[in-house]
Amino acid sequence: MAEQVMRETAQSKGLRARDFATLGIFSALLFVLTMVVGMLMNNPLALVPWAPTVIAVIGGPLYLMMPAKVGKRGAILIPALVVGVIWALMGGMFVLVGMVVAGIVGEIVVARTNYKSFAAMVVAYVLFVVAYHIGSVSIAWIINDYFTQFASYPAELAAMMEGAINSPNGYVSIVGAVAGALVGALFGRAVLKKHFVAAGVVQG
Amino acid sequence: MNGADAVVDIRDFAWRYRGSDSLALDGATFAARRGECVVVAGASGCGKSTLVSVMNGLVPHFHEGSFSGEATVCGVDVLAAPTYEVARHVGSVFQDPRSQFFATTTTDEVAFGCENLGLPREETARRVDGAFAALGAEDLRDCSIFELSSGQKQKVAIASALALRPELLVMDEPSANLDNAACAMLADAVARVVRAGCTVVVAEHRLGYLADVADRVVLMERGRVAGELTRAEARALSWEDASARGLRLANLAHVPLPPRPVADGSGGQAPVLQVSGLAASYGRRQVLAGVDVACAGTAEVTAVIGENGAGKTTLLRALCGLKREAAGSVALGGRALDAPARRERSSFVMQDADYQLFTESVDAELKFARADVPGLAARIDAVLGALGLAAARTAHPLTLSGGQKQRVTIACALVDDTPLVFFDEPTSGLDGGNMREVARLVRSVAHAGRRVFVVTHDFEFVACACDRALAVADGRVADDFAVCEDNRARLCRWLGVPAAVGDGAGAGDEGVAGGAGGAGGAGGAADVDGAADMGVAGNARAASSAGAEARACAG
Amino acid sequence: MARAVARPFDPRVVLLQVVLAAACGFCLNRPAASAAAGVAIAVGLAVIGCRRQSLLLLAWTAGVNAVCQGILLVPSWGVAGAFVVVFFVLRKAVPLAGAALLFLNGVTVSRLIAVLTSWHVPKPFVLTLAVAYRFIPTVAGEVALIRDALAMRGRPLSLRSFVRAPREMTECVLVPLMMRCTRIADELAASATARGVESPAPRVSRHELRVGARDVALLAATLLCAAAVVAVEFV
Repeated sequence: MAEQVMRETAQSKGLRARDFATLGIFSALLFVLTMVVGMLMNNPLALVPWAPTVIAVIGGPLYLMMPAKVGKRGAILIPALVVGVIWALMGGMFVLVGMVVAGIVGEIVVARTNYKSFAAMVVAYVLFVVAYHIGSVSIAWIINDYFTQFASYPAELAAMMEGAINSPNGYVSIVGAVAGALVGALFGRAVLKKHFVAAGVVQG
Repeated sequence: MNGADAVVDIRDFAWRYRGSDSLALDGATFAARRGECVVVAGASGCGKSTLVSVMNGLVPHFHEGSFSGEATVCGVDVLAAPTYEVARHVGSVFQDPRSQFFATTTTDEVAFGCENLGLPREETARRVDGAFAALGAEDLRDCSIFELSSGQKQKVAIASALALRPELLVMDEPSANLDNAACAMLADAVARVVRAGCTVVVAEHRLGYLADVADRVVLMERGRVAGELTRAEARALSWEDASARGLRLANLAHVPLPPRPVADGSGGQAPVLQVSGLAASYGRRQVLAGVDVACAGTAEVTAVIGENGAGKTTLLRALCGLKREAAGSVALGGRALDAPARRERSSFVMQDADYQLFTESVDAELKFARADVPGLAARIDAVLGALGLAAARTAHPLTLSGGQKQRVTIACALVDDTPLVFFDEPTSGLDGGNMREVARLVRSVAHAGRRVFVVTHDFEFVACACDRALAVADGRVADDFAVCEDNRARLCRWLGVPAAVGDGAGAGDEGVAGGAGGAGGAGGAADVDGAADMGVAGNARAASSAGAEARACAG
Repeated sequence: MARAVARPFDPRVVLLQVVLAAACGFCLNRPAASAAAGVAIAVGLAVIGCRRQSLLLLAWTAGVNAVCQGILLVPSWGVAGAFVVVFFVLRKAVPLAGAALLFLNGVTVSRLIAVLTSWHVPKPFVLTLAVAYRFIPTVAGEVALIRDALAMRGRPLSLRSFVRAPREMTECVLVPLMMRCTRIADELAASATARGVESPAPRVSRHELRVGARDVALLAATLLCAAAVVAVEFV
């Protein structure tokens, strides 16, 4: 019955409490995903480089939810930093370096399109996954001195490790990670469209 | 109302949530005086939560939508002032204790508001001490949030709100997830807050625990204030009145219980269940220590009641096969079943439907994981019709209202057609109308030949829906009795509710309150019969002849 | 009633311990050094009051080292070698496990916010990190409830069901999880907003970050342990 003119609530440009909470909680989910998949795919050694691929596919919806729901500056950079910082504090400092780069570049790319372009978000996600791969897995390949305790390994296992580190498996798995990120992004968009746009959680 | 005295002054306020077609508030006018304790009540969707959100500035600064009207709280124009300004005057407590906390320890949580506003350290420390002292909650200092009970968590939430020394405390259904003992704790906390001079406005369904604390009850309907009750009137509210307005009763003595049930099996048949010596533990902690339950062939709804932590939910989880038993056996229709077999034959309707909705349409949800069994389509049609969900068939479950979501999860249980059906707190946070609806549904599930168990702490629901009560304490079944008037005192004791609300029920009370106030028991029944204007009496008499069908709730 | 969390040492010292522990995980090559670091971190955990985690770390260090010794006894592993070699990686990573335990148990959300605020880290990041940190322990509980719901509807979540229908199972877990999380995020944000979290004023933590005698002692002890570990590594 209010025929009076009703004022609209203001839309704010900066991050509000709801944005911090959303970014925080979904970053937590992403972090837990990386940790759980990393632990499950710890053994045998050949699986380790492929963990980021699995993470990429499952994490797509989680990652894409954030710019979709928040849609402002920080929606790409902050989650990357949060995941990176928590990993760094738990011992994975190289992940943080990767996340900083992926976060900044990703944020710039997505911000250019005003948080609306799916292609831009795919780019940001690929960067995120590759950064995670390099920080957690490739690092062993790049700085393999740090992982050689081989003097204390039995000879055949040392040979196995050297073989694994020097095999092309590592390089192939980066390609796998990128592919996983593409699949994950498509999966993410499909999930968001099918469920969360319908429920009004996210704008279409 | 004297302007200087008014803590809350909302005039002709209208609000529409973004994306919604209807007005949540439609010209609501509300005022509260200093030192009052006002309860805002009404059926679901009446706008009480929104009204309370205006008082702490979340409408319009947190929620998105469009508004008109005026609102002044503690002298501040909440429509213009930013939320952190309003936070200095208004403290807030919300419904779900789990999702309110920012910190991991209680003291940090209580200090959160002060820290946000940049108060000097000594001032923050003083206020934190003051908040704990005001609630008499010193024993909760420096505890880990994860180890508190729900009632304790709400106390910490109140303390956190009080640390900002507000003149007004608003609470949005704070008791929704609390059992009766925790509600008593909450009522005590609110009473202390009021005594200390703070004004309190509570949006609530459950009027019972605040019956002695609230000064008045404001009733809302469809976005506007529709009436008011004084404390005495609220206490004297009759069952029929409450039903008509969709409210919960303040005075549980008015809730009619059926007379002694006639064991004539007219309610229908259900599978025979025999549980012996059921034990279960989590790690080293033994939660169930030998539970024996015997359910004969009659259809009945069994309430599982008891204190928090007594093992009610664990019992349910063990019975439905989610928790493997450490010892003992469960036999259905004479056959002993292990946990996986029990899972196949059970359906579990959880408290929060969000955990149980996986697909993109109600139809797909019902077909979930079922192979194309012949007759499935017909069964789905029948169930959708019976639950009033036929129109929502293609809707996405996440777009439905809370009540509809719950009905979808019940529909899934019916379509799966399992002999055992378990409900976990199906009525927490529901208003009177929805509670009666759920009670009707639960009874219909039972009378369709399934054995139904419900974990609940809701007295009114037990009265409406349940035939039998299993009281669990210390991991054992401590009492097993029929839900009837004779057992009113036992039921009250196990549910942790007083048999009657206060003695000073005030003048002008009908005889019902006085009579039933006599510590329940047989006396109550006679008074219920005597109140001929209540449709209850007729149904109570009908119940004894028609068997278990006609219950008070059908009226 | 639940007891207090870690005894109040200056969180900056604890963070330094975490960083040192992580460095040990990467830089140490001798198994003896890694094990020594593990023991040192366990002692550190006990000192700050996390006795249970301390014992856990000690057990883990001892266990992994014992398994590795056992593996060395077998003359040849053949193909199975691929499965056991991970234990050697874990042995080197023992200090990393220690760093994780130290971080998760030695620093509370509030103190972390205090430290980061004192380093002038921008508020948006600090608050988001706090929410993430606060929320990580509850993820397991949420997923467990979803698993239960799936089990009751006849689609249990297991490795086998995941491999058979990966897309569906992932969707079945993610959709309710994400829905719950958006709801929790909204409620948490409402509660924080009503307590002034959007105030532009600089946050003043109730914890005073002051390095006292205890903290200096802890720092000295930490550096001594680090030196000892380095000695084991290079001497």
